[in-house]
Amino acid sequence: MSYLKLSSLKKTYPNGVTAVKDIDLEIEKGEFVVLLGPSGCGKTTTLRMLAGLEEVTEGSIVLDGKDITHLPPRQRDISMIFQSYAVWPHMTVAENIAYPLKLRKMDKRAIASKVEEVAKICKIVDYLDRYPAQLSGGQRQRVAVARALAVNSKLSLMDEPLSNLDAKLRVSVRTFLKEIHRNTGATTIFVTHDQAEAMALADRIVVMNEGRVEQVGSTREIYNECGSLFTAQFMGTPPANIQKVALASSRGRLVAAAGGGEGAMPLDLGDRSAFPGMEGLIGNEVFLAVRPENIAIGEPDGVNEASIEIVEPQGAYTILVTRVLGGEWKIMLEGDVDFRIGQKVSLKIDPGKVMFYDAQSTKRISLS
Amino acid sequence: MHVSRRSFFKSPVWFLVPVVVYYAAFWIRPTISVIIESFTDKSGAFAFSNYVRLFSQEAIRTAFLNTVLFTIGSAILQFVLAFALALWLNRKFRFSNLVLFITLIPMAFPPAAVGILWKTGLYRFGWINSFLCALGLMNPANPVDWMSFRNLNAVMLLIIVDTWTVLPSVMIILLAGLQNFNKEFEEAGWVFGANKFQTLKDIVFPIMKPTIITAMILRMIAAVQVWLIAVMIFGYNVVPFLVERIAYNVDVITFAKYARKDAYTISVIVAAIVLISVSMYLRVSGDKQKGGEIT
Repeated sequence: MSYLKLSSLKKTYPNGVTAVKDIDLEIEKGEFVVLLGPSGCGKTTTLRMLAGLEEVTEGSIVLDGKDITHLPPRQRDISMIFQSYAVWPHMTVAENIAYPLKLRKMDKRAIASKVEEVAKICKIVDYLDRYPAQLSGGQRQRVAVARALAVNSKLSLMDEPLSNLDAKLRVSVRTFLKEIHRNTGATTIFVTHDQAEAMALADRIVVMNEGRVEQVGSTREIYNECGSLFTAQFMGTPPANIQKVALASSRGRLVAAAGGGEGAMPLDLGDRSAFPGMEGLIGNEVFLAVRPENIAIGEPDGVNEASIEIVEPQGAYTILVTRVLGGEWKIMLEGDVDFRIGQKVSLKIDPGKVMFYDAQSTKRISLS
Repeated sequence: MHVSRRSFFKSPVWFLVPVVVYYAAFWIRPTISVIIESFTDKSGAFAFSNYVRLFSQEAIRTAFLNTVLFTIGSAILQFVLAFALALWLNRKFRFSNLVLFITLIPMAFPPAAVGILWKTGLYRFGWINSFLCALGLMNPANPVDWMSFRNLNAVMLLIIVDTWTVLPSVMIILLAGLQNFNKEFEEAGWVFGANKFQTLKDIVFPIMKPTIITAMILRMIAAVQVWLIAVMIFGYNVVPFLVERIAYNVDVITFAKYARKDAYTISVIVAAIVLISVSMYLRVSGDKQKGGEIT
């Protein structure tokens, strides 16, 4: 039996909007799980149902063998880090950390030593007597983390805790949160719409879309083995290049032709032997997805020729925009490479990294 | 220090001149005249005689007591009711906007209309008694004559009428404060182990304190100055209040020997009471503002 189990969880608001349609999820003790998805996908609603801040319409939540579906928040033994930090402005940093412990009827000595302990971990010992208004955003964030750490709860919830920080601080707090998790091993559920955050932090990522779980897996699985077209489109900066194509075979090669056939050059995907089990699909329409970094570039040799339309240097890598099968494709090359606009090149697609999706169900077609 | 002529005439301080002139002419000058009048006798010599004469009047002592009772009673009642109403309306239920609109209606009535409205209810055969009889709370054979109420009972009655009138204005300030209140402060309270009451007491009230103070000060200033409702319902000289005494001296016994002097002197006393009570309230409830953002 898993540590935390969500069974057919559903949430419909009084105004008739169904934010969460049907969530089944099992989480093991000590896992760091990230709920990832675009805004409106139901990830925050799911977290708030776990916290008890949102009434569950249907389904159940079982934490450590106890059904908490309809318990008020204070009886659930959880802690939470809020998007706005929710560090109480009328209490000092020390009082903020101590208040939940007072409510748990801990004695004064124990509270004082606990406050000191978590303040040390979060490096806020110097600010214990200050009020939140006297702290920067990053420091307030640390207070919120310290307060959550101090209660030693069964489940730690985080609702986009990094979204109010500037880009630089976000990366350093991210590392800090991961370090804390490594040291405490607290079961954590983290909500975000930022895939970089999700990939950096998660043991497992739960990709959500329109109130449903789209895919669950490790960062590697979610990124390289996208189970659905949605995940392929959502993950990656820039995301995978996606095109509806008709598959054909030509002289032992697998070829993709643009749907509708507006005269765009067909794309040579590679030798047919690289795509075992695709025979049945030849002649069918499928979605083709190729990540920008899985395309290499060579001198024009008559195969997959394209001209470069835009060059976006990023320092560590360069993004090239070309036209493939009538659509805009992005190619990501390592380093700061020099290309002219209008330059002709040949695209070399890594056959092992090409993903196909069913045209109707948009689910992955796995190669045998 | 040398200040060039140019910068002297270009100083932005000049923009304040109209305000200073206005306050000097229409505010400071009359205030000073009233204070001087209250501390001089008929011949114009400095004296405490006005105060001595006033405090020897039974009606003034009653007026003082009534005013204090009215201020404390209405402040407490209105705060409790207004906060409860604001908390309820802030929950955004289905018809909350309609309810908000209905609760704001009394604010639209001028005091004279409020007086008439309630007066028609307070007679032996008025709507209040009819209402109570309809609810079965009163024996129709034995109605209460509310208009015969005097002293403490009359003050209580006026507190209820005043509460009906001004509750919306207190409520709307508190509601505005609650709407600016970051819901996550409250939710953090619940998540970290506080029940609803503890969250209200330890988190919502303290964070709302600036708003509560504003609403209460405005109410206290208005409560100390109560008079029109008392006069509209009971007439002059029945339930004396301090400001009612001013109006009585100026309006009713205009040509009595000390009418003007008495009116000036009571004005000074009322102003002093307002200043003292507000500063005491600030000291008791305000301590230090944490200077934090509320949201």
